[in-house]
Amino acid sequence: MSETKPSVELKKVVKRFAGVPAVRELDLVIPQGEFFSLLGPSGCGKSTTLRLIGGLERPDSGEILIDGEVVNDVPPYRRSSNIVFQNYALFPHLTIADNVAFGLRLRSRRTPAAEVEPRVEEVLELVHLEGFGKRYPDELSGGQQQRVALARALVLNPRVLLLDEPLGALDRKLRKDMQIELRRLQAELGITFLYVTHDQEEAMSMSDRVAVMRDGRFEQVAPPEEIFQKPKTRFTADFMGASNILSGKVRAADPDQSDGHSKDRLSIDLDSGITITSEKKDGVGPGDRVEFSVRPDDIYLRPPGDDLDTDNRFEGSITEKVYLGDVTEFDIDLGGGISLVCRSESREAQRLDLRKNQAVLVGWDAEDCNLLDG
Amino acid sequence: MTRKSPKFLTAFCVALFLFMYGPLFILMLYSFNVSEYGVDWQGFTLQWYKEILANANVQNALKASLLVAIPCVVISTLIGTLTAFAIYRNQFLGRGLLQGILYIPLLMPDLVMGVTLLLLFTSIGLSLGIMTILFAHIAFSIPLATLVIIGRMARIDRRLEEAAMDLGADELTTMWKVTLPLLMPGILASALLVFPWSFNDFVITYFVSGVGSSTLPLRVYSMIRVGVSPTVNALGTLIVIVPLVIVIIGILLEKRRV
Repeated sequence: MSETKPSVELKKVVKRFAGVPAVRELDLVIPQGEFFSLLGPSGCGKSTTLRLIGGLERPDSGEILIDGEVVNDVPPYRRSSNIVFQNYALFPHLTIADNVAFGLRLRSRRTPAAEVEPRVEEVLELVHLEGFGKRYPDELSGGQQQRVALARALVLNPRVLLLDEPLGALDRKLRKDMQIELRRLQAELGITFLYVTHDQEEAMSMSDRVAVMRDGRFEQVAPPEEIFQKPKTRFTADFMGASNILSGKVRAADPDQSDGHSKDRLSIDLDSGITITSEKKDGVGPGDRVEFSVRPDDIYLRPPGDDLDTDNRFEGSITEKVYLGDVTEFDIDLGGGISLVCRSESREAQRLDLRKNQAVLVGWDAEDCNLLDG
Repeated sequence: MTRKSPKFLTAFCVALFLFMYGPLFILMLYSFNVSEYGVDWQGFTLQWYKEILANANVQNALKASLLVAIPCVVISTLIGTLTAFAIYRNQFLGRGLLQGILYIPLLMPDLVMGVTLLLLFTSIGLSLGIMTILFAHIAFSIPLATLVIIGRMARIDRRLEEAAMDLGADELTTMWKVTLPLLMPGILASALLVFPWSFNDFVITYFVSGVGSSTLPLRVYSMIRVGVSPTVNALGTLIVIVPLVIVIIGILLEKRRV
């Protein structure tokens, strides 16, 4: 029965700190076994949401349910969730083995003493830390401490694992490895993961679904691809790196009947005078003011005079060129106060010999124009 | 320039240490001097140590001092821990005021403290003796103990307690298994400070001791009224050396444990 119930459910949850709202009427349903991420800048309420679910904060109003049961008044030590803290919060006075065994040894859990040690060994093996049991936390590297924190939570077989920026303090390479590791563990154990992060790449690469948070509200809750390709709001678009946000007025639907799928198109006059073609969107008609985003890597660049077979095509000039390794980033001035950020593969950019202060042909397809909600 | 300043600093440090510890060394030196009155060196002897250790008055005074200092350490550290919890962990009206009041006994002149306590004890009809000394010592030790423990408490990461609760420990278990072990260095430090604080006190003890009961500092005072004898030097040396050795052993043990 309980398998059909959502793992975590929030109903109009509100939390204020000294009168200042941190979380505003959140509604959320996380099904069993999902890898769900809360993504947002610092102060957006994502950690507070996690602490509310873990029981470290109490909601001012609304309901929190775990496995279908309201847990508003259940203290953290009686909840079937466990937290992996941002800075690990390992007990410095206990060995690794004792840290991991902490929860098991509590009287409330009633684990027979003979079972504790094998369980601890088993979990340390799961996080690749076999043989580290006798050491103290300060003798371990950041990555190892992180895995101890994980083991300490996992050993209790939680129904929900709450991870509060667990990889924030690790270097890039280690973070990548741990991301894969976490995904593997989650698939293997089938536990619901609620993952809090401000790193959009991290959220993208691991999650089944992502909630983008801002000022205590969800801006958008969707699978990573959708958030990435079809951000609903200006904030989400910007946060996901779709930094080209333009605005204009819809002139007409169906601007050009000669094109085969023109019925799905909109013609938008930008404030600077140029007109672009975009995909149609429900509820948007002639005369409406709209904003839309274009991802930097959806924009094509060609030397002037080259062919460029895109729905939108303009002349511009390169005002800045930054080499980033795999990709090269260009700032393009389209005139009329419009500038775009474009990203090309570095090899492609080299082949086309695109240089700073040079004229350039810029283009993108109608389907890559993502209309934002008002 | 860069060459000169270390030399100057070395000289300064030597002078400073001589100023601080020179008198102490002279006292120690004379405690082994055969000559009873003179300041001239007449040879090495342990005679004064034998005398002082056999002196019944000194023995009784030492007993009294320990009888005060040990319970004082235990009680004021205990109360200090509880007070620190109350002040640091709770938000209540007058919290800041209470913490401010805690500092006052540390700044108040001992004379005033002594007179006030004497007034209190006589007005409620307590007869002066070991008990009143103990009460007085506890009174001036609690602020010290509390402040030391609050200092340690401020350095404990609250998330460790949250982690314990998250792992299934209720409030009491969390306190017992996480907070107190982490607070232990603070509690020990407070005990190590309170002990000499109580053991060495002279002024306040002088007011509240009454006749008949006398701690070691009071005994030393009455001994030097008739002149500085080598036995006083020997006693002074012992009072300095014994706690020093204990503390050094403690530090060494602490180092080995880690």
